Amino acid sequence: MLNSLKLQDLRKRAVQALDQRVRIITAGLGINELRAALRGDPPTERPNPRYKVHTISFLFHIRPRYYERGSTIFAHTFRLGFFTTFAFVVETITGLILMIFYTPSPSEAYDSILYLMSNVPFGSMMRDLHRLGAEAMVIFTALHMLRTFLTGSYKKDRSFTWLTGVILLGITLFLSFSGYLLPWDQLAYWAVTIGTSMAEAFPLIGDQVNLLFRGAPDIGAGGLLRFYLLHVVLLPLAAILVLSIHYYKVAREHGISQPARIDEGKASPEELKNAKQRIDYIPDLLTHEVFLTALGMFILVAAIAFNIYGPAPLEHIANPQQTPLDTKAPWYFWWLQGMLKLGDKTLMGVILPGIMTAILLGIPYIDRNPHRSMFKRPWAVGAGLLATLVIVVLSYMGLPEYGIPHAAATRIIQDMVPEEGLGPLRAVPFDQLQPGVYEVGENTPKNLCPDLILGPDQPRGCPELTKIFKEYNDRIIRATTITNLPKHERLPNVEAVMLIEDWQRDLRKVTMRILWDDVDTGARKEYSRHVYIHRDHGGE
Amino acid sequence: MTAKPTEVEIEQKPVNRREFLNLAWLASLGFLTVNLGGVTYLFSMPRFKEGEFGGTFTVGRVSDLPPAGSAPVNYPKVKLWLSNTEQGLVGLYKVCTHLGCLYNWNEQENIFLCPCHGSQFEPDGTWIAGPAPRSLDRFVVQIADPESGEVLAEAPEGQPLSLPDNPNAVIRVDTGKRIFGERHA
Amino acid sequence: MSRVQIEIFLGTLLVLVTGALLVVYGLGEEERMALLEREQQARAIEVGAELYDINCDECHGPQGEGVLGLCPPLNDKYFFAERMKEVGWSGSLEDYIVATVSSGRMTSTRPEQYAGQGVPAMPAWSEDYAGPLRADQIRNIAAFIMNWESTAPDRREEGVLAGPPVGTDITISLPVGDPANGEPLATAKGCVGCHVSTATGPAWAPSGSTPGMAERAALRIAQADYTGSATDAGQYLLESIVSPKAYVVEGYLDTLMPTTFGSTLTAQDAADIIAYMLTFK
Repeated sequence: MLNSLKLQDLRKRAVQALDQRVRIITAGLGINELRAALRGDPPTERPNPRYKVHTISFLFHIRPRYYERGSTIFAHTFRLGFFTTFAFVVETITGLILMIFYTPSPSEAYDSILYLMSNVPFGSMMRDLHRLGAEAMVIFTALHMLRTFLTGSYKKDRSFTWLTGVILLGITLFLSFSGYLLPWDQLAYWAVTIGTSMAEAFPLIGDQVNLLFRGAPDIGAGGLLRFYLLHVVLLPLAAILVLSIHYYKVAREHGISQPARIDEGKASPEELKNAKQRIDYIPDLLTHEVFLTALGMFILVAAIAFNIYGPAPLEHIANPQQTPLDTKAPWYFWWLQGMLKLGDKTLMGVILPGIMTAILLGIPYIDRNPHRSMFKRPWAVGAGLLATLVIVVLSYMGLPEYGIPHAAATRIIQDMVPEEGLGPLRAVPFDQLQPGVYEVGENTPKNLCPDLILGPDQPRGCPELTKIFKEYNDRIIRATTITNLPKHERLPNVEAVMLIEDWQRDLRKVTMRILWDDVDTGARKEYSRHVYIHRDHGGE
Repeated sequence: MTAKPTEVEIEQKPVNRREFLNLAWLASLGFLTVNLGGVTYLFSMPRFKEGEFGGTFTVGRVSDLPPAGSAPVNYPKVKLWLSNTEQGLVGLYKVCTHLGCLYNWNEQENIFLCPCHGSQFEPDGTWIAGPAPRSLDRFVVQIADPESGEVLAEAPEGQPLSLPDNPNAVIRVDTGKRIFGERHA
Repeated sequence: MSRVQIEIFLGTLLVLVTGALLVVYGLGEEERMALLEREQQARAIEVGAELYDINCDECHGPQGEGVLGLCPPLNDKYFFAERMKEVGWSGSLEDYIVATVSSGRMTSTRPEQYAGQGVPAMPAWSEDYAGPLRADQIRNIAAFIMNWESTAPDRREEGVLAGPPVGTDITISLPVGDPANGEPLATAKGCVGCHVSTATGPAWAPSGSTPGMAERAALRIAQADYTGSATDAGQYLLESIVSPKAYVVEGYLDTLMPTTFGSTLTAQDAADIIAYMLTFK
C-alpha cells in the first residue's frame, strides 16, 4: 500500500482516517462538526449530525435532542431535577470509594471509619462529601417534588413520570436511612433501631418484616449486613432503574414542561414563539450542564474545605445495651418521630404514612383540575403548602426537646455534658478546667480562677469555665427559686456541685451532681453524671 | 407527547392454540415467580439457636434467683429483665413499648424508667406513667426438670410463674415468643 | 459575551478553583490525620477511664494503685518496665494488658502478695470468654492504663514495716493516733482502693443520711446482728481492719476485704488510721 501512495494523497487520507475515528468516537460528529460545536457555529452537515448522536451513542441516548426554550427558564425548574441526579452521582462515586475501606461487621465497622478518617489521605473528605451529598439529595428530591407539584407538571401524560418520581423519593429516603446505620455508632444504631421498630408495627406481618430487615429481633451483625447490601446493591440498582425510566420519559416522551402561563395561554405571541424555540442539547445544554456540574462540585468541595457544615458526626461506638438520652432520627425523619409521639406506633408509624404515600402516588388521579397554572388550582396549591407546613411542624415536634418532660436535674446536666456529642463543658479549653469543687450558692460564677495564668498572650483566669458554671448556676437557681414552673422543672432545696479532679496525665474527671427534694414526697433525690475529658479530645 | 387515543374495539377472535399455549406459559411463569418468592423468603429469614436472642435461653436454677420482691436481674445478651415478683417469675423484654429504647431499673423508686421519653413501669412490667402505649412485653418463662429437660411448668400467656419447690429446677426463657403487654386506658 | 460563553468562562474558573482547593486541602492532610489520630487516642483513654471506673477500680484501685493482698498496682514503674520480663511475655505491654483482661487469671502469679478474688483470681472480661466486655472496650481500658506510664511512681516498698506488726488481737492498747498521718496512710495502705471516695469526700465521711465513721462504728457495735467482740468505736475499727471476718455488714460479701492487714500495719499505723477515721462524726 505504501508504494501506491502519493505524498499529497497521504495528507488527505490521514485527515480522512482521523475524521473517521473521530466520528466513531463521538457517535457521528466529524472534526469540522466537533469544532463547530465548540465554536458555537450551526451544524455543518445536513441532516443535523448532532441529533444522530442521541440515537447512536448509548451514553447520550437518554439525553434529549433538544429542549424547548420555555422549559429551560431557570425560575421554572431551578435545575432541581438536575441537581438531584448530580447528588446521586456524587453519592455513587464517593460511595464506591468509601467501600474500599469500610467493613460491614459490628466488630469492625466503627474502627474502619476511624481508620478512614485518621489514616487515609482525603478519607475524611470522602466521608464528608458522602454525607453532604446524601443530605443534598434528600433536599433536592423534596424540592423537585414540590416544584413539580406547584407547576402542575404531573398531569395527563406526566402522571406515570410522577409515579416513578414518588418511588424515587422513597428509594432516596431508604438509601439515606440504610446508609445512616453503617458507621455503627450510637447515633446510627439507635436512630435506625427506632426507625425499624415501626416495621414491627406492621399489621399481621410485622414480626416477619422486622426479622427480614434486621436479620434478628434486634439489630446486630445480620442487620448491619442486610442494611449494607440494601444500601450498596439493591437500592442503587433500583434507583438507577427507576431513575432511567423517570428521565427517559422526560427526555423522550413528554419533555420538561413549559411554564403554565405559556402552556395555558396568558402569554404574548412573541413570548409563545420564543418559548417554543428549540435549544439543541449539543452544544448549548451540554455546556450548561457541565457548568452546573462544575458549580456543584465547587460548592461541595468548598463546603468541606472551609468546614462550613461541620464534619460528618461520629459518636461513641454503638452500645446495644444503652440508649443515650436525646436519641433522635436523622432530620428528614423528624416528622415521623413527631408523629410517633402523637399516638400508637401502628397508626402513626405505618398506617398514616402509608395513606400519605398513597395520596402522593395518586395525586395525578385525585386532581381532576385540568389547569396547570397555580392561580387556577387554589385547592391543590393550598393543600401542597399546607402539607409542607404540617411536615415542618411535625419535624419540630420530633425533636427531643419537644414534649418529653425530663426531670430538671436530668435536663440541666444533659445539656451541659450530653451523653453523646460535645456539649458546652467539653468545649472548654482543657487548661481552664481547673481542679476544684465549684458549688452553686457557694462559689460566685465570676472569675473562678483568679490566679490562673495560662500564657503570655492569654487572658488571666478561666473565662470559658466561668461561663459554663454561670449557666449551670443560673439554671439551678431558676429551678429552685421560681415556684410556678411545671412540677418536673422544679428543684426545691437544691444542692448542686461541679467537681473537677485531676485524674491522669492530661485527663480530668468532671462530676456534676444535683440533690433536691422531691416535689411530691419531699424525699431527697439525687442525679449525677461524670465524664472524663482528655486534653486532646478535640472538637466535634 | 403520546397520540390521543382513538376509538378502540376489541376484535372478537376465538383463542387459537398459540395464544392459549402462551397464556398457559405465562400462568406457569407466575407460579414459578411465587415459588421463587417463597425460596427467597425462606432464605432470608433468620433462624435462632439456643442461647441466642430469639431462641430459648437458660437463666439458671431456681436456687440462683434473688428473693421475691427484690430488684430484677438483667440479662443484657438476651435483652431480658427477669423479675421475681410476689406473684411469681416474669420475664420482661428489655425494649420499651414506646419507641424501642432500652429502659433501666431505678433502684431508688423501685420502678423501671425509660431514658428516652420517661415512661415508667412496675417491677412486673405494668405501665405506670409516660407515653408508652402498653405495659412491658413479656417472654414465655418455663421451668424445666434439670435432668430430663422436660418442661414442668410454663407461662404461655406471660403471666407470672410460681416457682416450684425443687431448687434445682432449671429456668428457661423463650425469647422468640413475645407476648405483648396490655394496653392501658 | 453571550450567556453560554459566560458559563464556559465561569465553569473553567470554578474547576480551577476546585482543583486549587483540593491541592491546598491536601497539603494539610498529614497534619489533620495526625491530629485526628491523637483525638481518637484521647477519646479511647476517656472511654477506657469510664470502663475502668466501672469494672476495675474495686480491685486495682481508682488510680491503679492496687490493693495489697488483693490486686497488683497497674501504675508503677515496675508494671511498665519490668513486669513483662518477669512473666516472660514476648509481646507489647498493651497486648499483655489486653490478653490478661480478656482471659483473666485462673490463679495469681504472685499469690502471697496479690491473692486475687479466689478462683479465678481475676475473672475473664472478654465477651469471647463469657465476660461482659467487647474487644474494643478492652482496648480502650488498655489505652487508659497505658496513660499512667508517664507519671508512674517507683515500685511501692512492700513488706518493710517500720516496727512490729499490730497483729490480730484487738484488745491490745494502741499508741496515741495522729489523724494527720492517718489520712495519707489510708491511701498508701490501699484502703481507698476499695473504700472508694465519693464526690462529697472519702468513704468514711458522712453522706446523705449515713453518719461519719465515728458514729457509724458506734452504731454497728450496738446492732443486734453484731458478731464481733469490740466494745467501743475505736476497737470496732481495729477489728474491722485486722479481723474483717469477725463481723461483716449485711449486704457485703465476706470474701472481699484482705485479712492480712494485721501483718502489714504497725501499731502506730493502725492507731493513726483509726484516729483519722474517728474525726468523721
